[in-house]
Amino acid sequence: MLAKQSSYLLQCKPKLQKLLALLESDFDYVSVLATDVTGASFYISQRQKIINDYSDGERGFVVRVYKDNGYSEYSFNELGDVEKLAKTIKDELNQQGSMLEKMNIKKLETPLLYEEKISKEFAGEIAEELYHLDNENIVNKMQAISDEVAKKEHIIECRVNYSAGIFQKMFLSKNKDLIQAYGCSFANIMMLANKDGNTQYNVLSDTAWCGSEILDNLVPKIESAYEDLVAMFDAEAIEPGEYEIITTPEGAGLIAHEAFGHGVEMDMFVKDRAIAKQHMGEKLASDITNMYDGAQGGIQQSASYFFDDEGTLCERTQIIKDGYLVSGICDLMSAARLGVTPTGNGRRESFARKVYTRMTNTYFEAKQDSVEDMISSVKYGFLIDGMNSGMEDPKHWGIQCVMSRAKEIKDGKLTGKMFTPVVLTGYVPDLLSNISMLGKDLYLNGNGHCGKGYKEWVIVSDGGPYLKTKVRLG
Amino acid sequence: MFNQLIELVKQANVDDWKLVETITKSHQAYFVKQELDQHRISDVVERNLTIYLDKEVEGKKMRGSASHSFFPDTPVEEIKEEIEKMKYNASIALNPYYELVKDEKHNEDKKDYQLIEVLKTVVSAIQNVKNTETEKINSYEIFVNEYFIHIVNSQGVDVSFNSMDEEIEVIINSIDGDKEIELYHRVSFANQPLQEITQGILDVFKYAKDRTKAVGTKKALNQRVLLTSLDNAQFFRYFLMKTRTSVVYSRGSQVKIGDKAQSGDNCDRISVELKAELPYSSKNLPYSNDGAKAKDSFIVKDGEYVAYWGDHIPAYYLGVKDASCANNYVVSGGSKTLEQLHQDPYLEIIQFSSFIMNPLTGTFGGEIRLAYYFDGNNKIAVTGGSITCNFADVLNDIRMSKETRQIDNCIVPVTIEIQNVAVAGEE
Repeated sequence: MLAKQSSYLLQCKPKLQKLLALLESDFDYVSVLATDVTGASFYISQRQKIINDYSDGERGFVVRVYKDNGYSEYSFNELGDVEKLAKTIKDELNQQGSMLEKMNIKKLETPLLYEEKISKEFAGEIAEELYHLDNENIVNKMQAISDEVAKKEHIIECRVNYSAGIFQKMFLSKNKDLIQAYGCSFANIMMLANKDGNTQYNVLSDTAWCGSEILDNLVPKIESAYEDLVAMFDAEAIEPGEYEIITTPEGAGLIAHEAFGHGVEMDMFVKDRAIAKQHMGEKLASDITNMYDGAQGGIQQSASYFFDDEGTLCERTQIIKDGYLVSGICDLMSAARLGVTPTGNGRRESFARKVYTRMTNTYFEAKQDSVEDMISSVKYGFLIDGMNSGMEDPKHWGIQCVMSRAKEIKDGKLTGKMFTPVVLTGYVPDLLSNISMLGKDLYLNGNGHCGKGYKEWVIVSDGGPYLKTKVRLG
Repeated sequence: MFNQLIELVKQANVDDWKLVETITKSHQAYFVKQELDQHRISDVVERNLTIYLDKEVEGKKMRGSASHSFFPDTPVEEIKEEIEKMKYNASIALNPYYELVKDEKHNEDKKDYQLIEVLKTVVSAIQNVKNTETEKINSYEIFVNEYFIHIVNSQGVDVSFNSMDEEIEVIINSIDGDKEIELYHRVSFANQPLQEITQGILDVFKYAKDRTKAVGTKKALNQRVLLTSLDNAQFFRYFLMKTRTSVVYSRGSQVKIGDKAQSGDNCDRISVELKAELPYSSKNLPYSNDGAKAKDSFIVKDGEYVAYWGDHIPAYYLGVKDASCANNYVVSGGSKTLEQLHQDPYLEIIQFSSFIMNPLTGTFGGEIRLAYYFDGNNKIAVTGGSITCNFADVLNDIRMSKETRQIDNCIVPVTIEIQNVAVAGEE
């Protein structure tokens, strides 16, 4: 079925339109984003059962205004008396603006945002179940998974998480009247094991525009994840050095995300914080490398949506084409400052936070290699698995990806020997230029949140096929 | 609406309830170079209601709970519907029985911290930083926030208090010929003197200059490493995570009170004390979300785990009475002066790209953004490469500087010395 629009937002719409009208007399541009994100989250382990609201749930509004060549915003979540609210917004923003002006602070010149007239409603395919979850059934299913895993040797706890989010947003301005709704399921199983006083863990996760059957999809993967987990107890520390590696799709996703995800966020171009600005059109990856980001374009994942938090309609952006860096991703204000077209990547952590250029679903395109062929092509190297965390460095093209484990490959065969943990570091163009093989199957996972620096967490997905390259491991 | 929620939950036939109201006002300013990108204000109210239902299962008293955030403007009918849903959820997510915090009382009126004035002060502090010929402020963001928190429960808790914090994120560039680098400076604090904010940035200027001259970090297998970054705060959070009641109860830590974190005589013994209040900390919250009072408490003393701390419910399960819920911590200084620590050859890491500390596995480390390598004669700046270590391998010969420094909500040794570290770097 198609997702239903938020009755709360529709109820608020006349008041918000009145608020815009009241503010338009004082400001040259006014828009409002209204959000209503609902859903449920379930956490079941051997020691605890919790059902709560969806953790990214929110309900609120943010007004953006333009006056005297500068933008300002006011976030709130109580509409109440609209005339009083309009006065508060005007008074407080003007007071703060005057304070900054009196300090003789120059404004970063930004043109008035241009908006084409559009009025449209968007609804994503949604599992009907998300509107009336059978909580008892879900709890029982999750408990059964946790109980089954907990029986295994060395396991000390198994935490199962399931969340269902229903995302509903409305964007209103003089020229725009947009509303959207879509839903997504998030699931993960964390196995925690202890042997001889050492603790290791392994996480299975998945996200999709579907219902709670996503939990069932993880069950067949438990056994091999458990085997990897137990093997981690005998794993050694890797000797630092440069190696040929094959990453699983989640490792490929982390590389895509950290390399030319963060590296091409164009609000960083405005600040001269991304070296990619000077290298557009250059060959920075191997011939077989194609990379994309997009909230639309055939991908239905946790970061898919129809319009962004600035009311820009979304598409898919090709970032790397046949090894050439061809495009960045951009929010509306940065696009206005740079004189380019926005790509629908203006996102907020919540209605209470600022917009930045943010990734959506970021991934390498799949090609034709089989995993077996990729492994057999490695003289000495590793199959890298289990994503932990990553860090970007767009100014210098440094990359850091922390992965759970490296499985040794010798003379084209997995030896069964494992190393953990693994920190992959390197220079982005080297890493991308070394991509020599790409697998057949594209897989994206959107269980993570991505920060801008160390804050502003938004849901993203990333992925790719199995990928072969050469990097430094430590 | 606060009182209305209490009235409605009282009528809902639940065994216990808790309501937490958080009113957050935030003033923010964003700059590119020293020019204003935009400014923002946020005024948000959140009311989180938790209901508790008790049930006997096979002769054992069980308790289920469910929470929901109610936003202003929520109609009464919707509140009632949500409470019914919460009751159902609580009835199917049963846990062993626990008691709520009882009878705590502390009431403050909502304060106005004059955030516009606070914002002005912080903007001035950063505008006062003069670019040099080679070091420049690239961009910065300022957040000044005030919070009013009111916690009420059905067991007589009624506490309300005010809190505020400030946060700056500053990006600094340094240029050396064609080479331009950046360093990242993010700090939180409360009421910090203006000159300290400015000085913090000027310190990064010095490091930024050195990074422009940095060469690639060399690979080494048994390197003596000095950790002198802001991430020393994260390093010692390991001990907080190992003793946190929620982590211990959920089996994320196997630490038992009386366990030794360190053994042997070849190390500085670590002591970590939680502090309810620390001047300039952004985390001076006098009560936990459950309404428990924050208090001072040692969690690690002379290398031995001496107390759990943290959330009330797992503390109840673990049989810990009066667990501290303080958010500040102080780590005692070590046995060596900074001068002594810098006498022998070292790799001193000043900034990681992203420091990782995994309390489950004990792993810590990350990519090196800036370090100094001293071979006994010469000191050079290096960058790139990484270290990956485990607490189990370093705690028995760890040394710490006598000198300590405050990093927001903690005071920690300025420098930590660890031995035999494998450094991934250039061959």
